[in-house]
Amino acid sequence: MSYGRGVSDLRPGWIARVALAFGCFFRTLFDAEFAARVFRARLPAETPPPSARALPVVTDASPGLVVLGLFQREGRLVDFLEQDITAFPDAEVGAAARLVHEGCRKALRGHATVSPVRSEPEDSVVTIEEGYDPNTLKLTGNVGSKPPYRGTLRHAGWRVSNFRLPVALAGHDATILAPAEVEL
Amino acid sequence: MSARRFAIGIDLGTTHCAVARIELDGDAATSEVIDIEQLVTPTSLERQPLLPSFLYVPTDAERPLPLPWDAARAFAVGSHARSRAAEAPGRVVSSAKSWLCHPTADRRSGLLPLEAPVGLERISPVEASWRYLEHLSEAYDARFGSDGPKFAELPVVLTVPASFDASARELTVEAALAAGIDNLTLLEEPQAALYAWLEQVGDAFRAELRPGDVVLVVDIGGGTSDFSAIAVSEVEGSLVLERLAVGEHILLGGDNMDLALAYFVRQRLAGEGTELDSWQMASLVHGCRAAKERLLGEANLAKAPIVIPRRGSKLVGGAIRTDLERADLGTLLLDGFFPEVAAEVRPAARSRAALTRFGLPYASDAGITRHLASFLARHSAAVGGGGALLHPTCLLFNGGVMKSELLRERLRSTLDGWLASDGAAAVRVLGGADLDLAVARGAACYGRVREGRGLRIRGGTAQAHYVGVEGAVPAVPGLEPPLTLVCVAPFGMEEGTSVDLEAELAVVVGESVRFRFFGSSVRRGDLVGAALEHFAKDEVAELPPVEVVLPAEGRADGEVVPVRLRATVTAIGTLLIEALPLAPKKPDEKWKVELSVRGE
Repeated sequence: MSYGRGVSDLRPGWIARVALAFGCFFRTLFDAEFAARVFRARLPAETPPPSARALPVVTDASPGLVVLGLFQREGRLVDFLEQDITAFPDAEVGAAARLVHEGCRKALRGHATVSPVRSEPEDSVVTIEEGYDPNTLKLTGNVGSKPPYRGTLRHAGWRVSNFRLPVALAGHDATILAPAEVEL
Repeated sequence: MSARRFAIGIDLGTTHCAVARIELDGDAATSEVIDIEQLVTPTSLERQPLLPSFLYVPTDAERPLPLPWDAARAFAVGSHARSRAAEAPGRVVSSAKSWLCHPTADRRSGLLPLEAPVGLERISPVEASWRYLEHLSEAYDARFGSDGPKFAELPVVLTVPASFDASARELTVEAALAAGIDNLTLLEEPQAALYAWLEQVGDAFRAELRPGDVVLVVDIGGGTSDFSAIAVSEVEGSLVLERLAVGEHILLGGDNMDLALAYFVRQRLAGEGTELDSWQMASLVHGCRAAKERLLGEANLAKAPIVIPRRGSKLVGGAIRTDLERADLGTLLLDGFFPEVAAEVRPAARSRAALTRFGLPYASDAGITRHLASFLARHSAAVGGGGALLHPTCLLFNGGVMKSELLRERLRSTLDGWLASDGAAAVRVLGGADLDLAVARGAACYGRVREGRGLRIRGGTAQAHYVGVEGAVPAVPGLEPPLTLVCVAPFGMEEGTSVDLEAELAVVVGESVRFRFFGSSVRRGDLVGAALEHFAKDEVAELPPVEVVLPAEGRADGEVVPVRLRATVTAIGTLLIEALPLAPKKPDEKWKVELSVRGE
């Protein structure tokens, strides 16, 4: 099967980072400079057409921070990560995890379509032909010298498509992941 | 190549709005739902298929809440406004549509938010609706306006509940005009749902709908439940659809169901010694909705967890954890809102306490099936057949609540039970439409139907209208003078037609004169001028009064002028009543009778 077009779309790296962000959050998301460049490149499709009264749409808000803010807002992810959970029993951690899971899942699904890279079921035997794309496939174990390879699919991978970030407006401060709340 | 022409359909809902458009030219065209750009936080925008019908009034420091097309916007509608509803309820307008049909409130005056803090300017239900429509129009233009016709230039079909009375329809039109939408037609929501279904099935509808069929549309949204019956017949070889009957306005919907679950869980938690504050309660309502959707979606799930988090930045520890059991869902939702009752059971009418808090007239009986039984019995005569009930042969669901297979099945089986005991066959369910977006899509499709492309649902006005004339009898303290109702607009008047009431009414020049105004959705036989002295209380409902002001125009102030009334169904789909003086002072002299005046 061919991944040609999808891969050339993915190669800039940022989109793949969204899926990866779940696993290694800080390492990927704080590479703001590179991510911002990709964001700018994608922006015209997301920007409303200019009009006489149009506002400047902020383009330098780091997309990484926008995503982090989104996961905090919808799923309190930063609250969860910033708390020391060592002493809490699993039931308490589990209750919190449900909230984070529900909210972050809603945020993820509302802003991107995530699907497996390989359609075969995990643990099934697959054959990798010559010319495979190393961006979409990682070989582990006893990796021989030449394809075709036969192996067991351990992880089907994740691919994101149809990714859209909220558009940040003038005055948006992406460094505020959550505002302080004061009840009157 | 000439410019592409579109028709727009708008679903202006109690809890959500949606927009669709369809190309007017060409033989094959499909409706397309337009995602609506809106604030999701004070400084970020997203496109979403639904615009929540909420309006947030920010504090001075939060102002402005800019949009790409307006840097100085002083309020927000949509997703951000909805998320503020639980956080700062005094600053958020919600359910404006339910207020539009409030029988006694002045719907043009500042009422909302109902619990606004001192110093916050309230807006009218009409203005709130206008702001939602304005946003839809601006978002459309921001996206398409540079390379196509502007929203204001397109024909717009705006939906209203079938149960909206004449004045609520007129106020809806007023809101649309204020939003710059002039090229406007109203359409009843259940009809829009059927148009969407017709679009969905395409030519295959001929296999599914046959002459003699009666389609019952059950539309249960976030805030209201609406029923309509539409008959299928054949005239000269082609199928004809005719709307036979519409139900009463019932303020009862999905939001009530979520609240019922949340109050139940709160009470159980209180029994276990856990009290919830208002923030936690809002979080519980949210949790109950999610748990309900999971249980309704997964038939094998015995219970769904609900977690009410701590409020501070420490998420883990101290959360309140509980479950929603399937058995509770069955008791509260199925038996509470969709009880399996006999066809003879009627909704309980609660006698209102003398001093009720000013608010919306929510349905006093939550049993949707009881309301449905009442609807079918009231309209049993609409097709003949002699049963105790109107006998639908097909069932079309609409509205977010009806996405649940479990609830659809409960409703269908209850209905089939009634039909069987009344000697009629079971219904066929017409499936396949997207229940959240069907109304907007169907409204757009109606834009094409109006250009002669596709089957049109006929039916005219869904109510007969009457003015109340008090009999001239000597005043007796404590006794109301007898009231006669005179029919000014009969049932089923078609768009663009008028009728004149021959009887004369007397109006005083220079003063506003009010008449009591009534509507009936069941008296289909009364002709214009019919005078009712005796009528059953549940046949006729009193509407907000109508008012006419005659300027002097050369007459003496205080002079009593005899007038005739003329009723017209406008091209927009509203009822227009005019007073014509018998002795006009100038050609074609007439005055508009105001339908939507404030009640006493």
